[in-house]
Amino acid sequence: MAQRGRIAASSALLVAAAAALVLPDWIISLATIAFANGLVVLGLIVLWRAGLVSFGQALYYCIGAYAVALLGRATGATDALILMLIGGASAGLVAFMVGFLLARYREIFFAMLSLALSMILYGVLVKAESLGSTDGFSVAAPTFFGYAPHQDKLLVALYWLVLAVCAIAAFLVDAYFRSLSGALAMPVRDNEIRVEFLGMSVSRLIHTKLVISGLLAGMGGALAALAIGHVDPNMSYWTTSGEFVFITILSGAGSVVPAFVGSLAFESLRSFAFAVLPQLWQMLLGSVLLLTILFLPQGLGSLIMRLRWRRKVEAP
Amino acid sequence: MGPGSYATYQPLLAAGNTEVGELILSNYDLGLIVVAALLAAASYWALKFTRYGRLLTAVIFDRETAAAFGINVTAVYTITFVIGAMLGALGGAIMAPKIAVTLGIGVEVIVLAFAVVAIGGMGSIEGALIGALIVGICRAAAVHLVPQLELFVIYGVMALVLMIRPYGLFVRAQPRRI
Repeated sequence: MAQRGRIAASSALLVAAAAALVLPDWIISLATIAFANGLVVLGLIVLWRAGLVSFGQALYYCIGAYAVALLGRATGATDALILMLIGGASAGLVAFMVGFLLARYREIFFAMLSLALSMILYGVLVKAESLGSTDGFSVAAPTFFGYAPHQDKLLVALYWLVLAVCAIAAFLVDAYFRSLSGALAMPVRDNEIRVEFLGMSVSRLIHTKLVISGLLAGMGGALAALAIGHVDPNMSYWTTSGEFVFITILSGAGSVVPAFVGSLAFESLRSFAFAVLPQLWQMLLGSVLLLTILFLPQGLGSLIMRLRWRRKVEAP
Repeated sequence: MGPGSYATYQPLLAAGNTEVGELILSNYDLGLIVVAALLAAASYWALKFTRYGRLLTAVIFDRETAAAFGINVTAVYTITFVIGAMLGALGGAIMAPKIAVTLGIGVEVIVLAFAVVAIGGMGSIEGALIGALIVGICRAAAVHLVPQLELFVIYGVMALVLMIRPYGLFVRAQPRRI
């Protein structure tokens, strides 16, 4: 089953990569942002499986983005891969440090404390004149190992980079879900004391998940900064975190691929809603979320499961 | 109707002012304090001393055991949700004359409400009271004294409280469930 899933995911990846050659620019740029945000959602799924909802993922997203922008401004570095890795690493480092604090909290207290941390960063960024205050500042066009494309080619190159990063991240997180530490997520959600009695440290498990989700959100933010070409403090505002939680509910936490499908669906839906109902686009988004919760409580990902289940039932 | 905002200041003006020494206080504001205090007392009484309040406490403590004792858990949840929605609506209604009513005024309030609950502790009415006072006073003090901190003082205070009291200020010790 897992084998078949991987083959399906790889073919979807190849189709998505090949599609860049025929699709119009606006779809490619929308998909680039969507898949970069999908990395953040993947990080939220890692936490979600252990019963933790972070309302402060924007903290890592923003750190990843600002790391790229500041590094580019200070040193003139433009290599997309290096910038992204440094963005992810700085967010991961922050996640590691705040993890000592956050790993002790659960439920609403976890959500609110992570929200508080991201809002403090927001407040600092808005008041920091040297970091551009509310305007933020722009990010130079990235290069790829010395290759410096322009316009259309830059768009496609960045899209392929995002796809490659997403594929590697999805593969590694999938492997993590199958590992002992990953598989213990649901027991942690159900009953922590039992997990402790098995001889595992719950706070260490949660700390690991926090670092993974911070790394992913940082890389997502770094890629988004490169794709948008601009960073601003709103990347750290709690509505950004809320959006990621929204996409996670839409996607479901069953497996890794729905994170990207859900993110793409969300961005497309928002663009569509904005074009069709400029005044009421939130209403359309809200209705879709409501319908998802009512009819697909496990998210878009559960659609695949349902199909599979039905096929099995039909088979003699 | 539409995305424009409304000003509904008439009740605020009609209520008039009271002068206490040099201070001019709006009667409407004083009324708000009285209404809030009465509602807090009423909720406290309802939660601690009525049959329904005790049923609710039992359901929150352990949903399955409560159901096994014959409590209609779904009904309790529904009624509680309705009461919560009514309190929320009342809060909006009595605040309306003091602000410009527009779409999305609830967005900031919901985060502040969660901050109050996290500071006070879940299910604690005295915690909600103290939490709301802490949030309100810190915000007002920051705006006057250190405007640089205005944007995140509430979150800073919340983070500080949670570092010292991980489940909020007024929370009873919870038994470990194995």
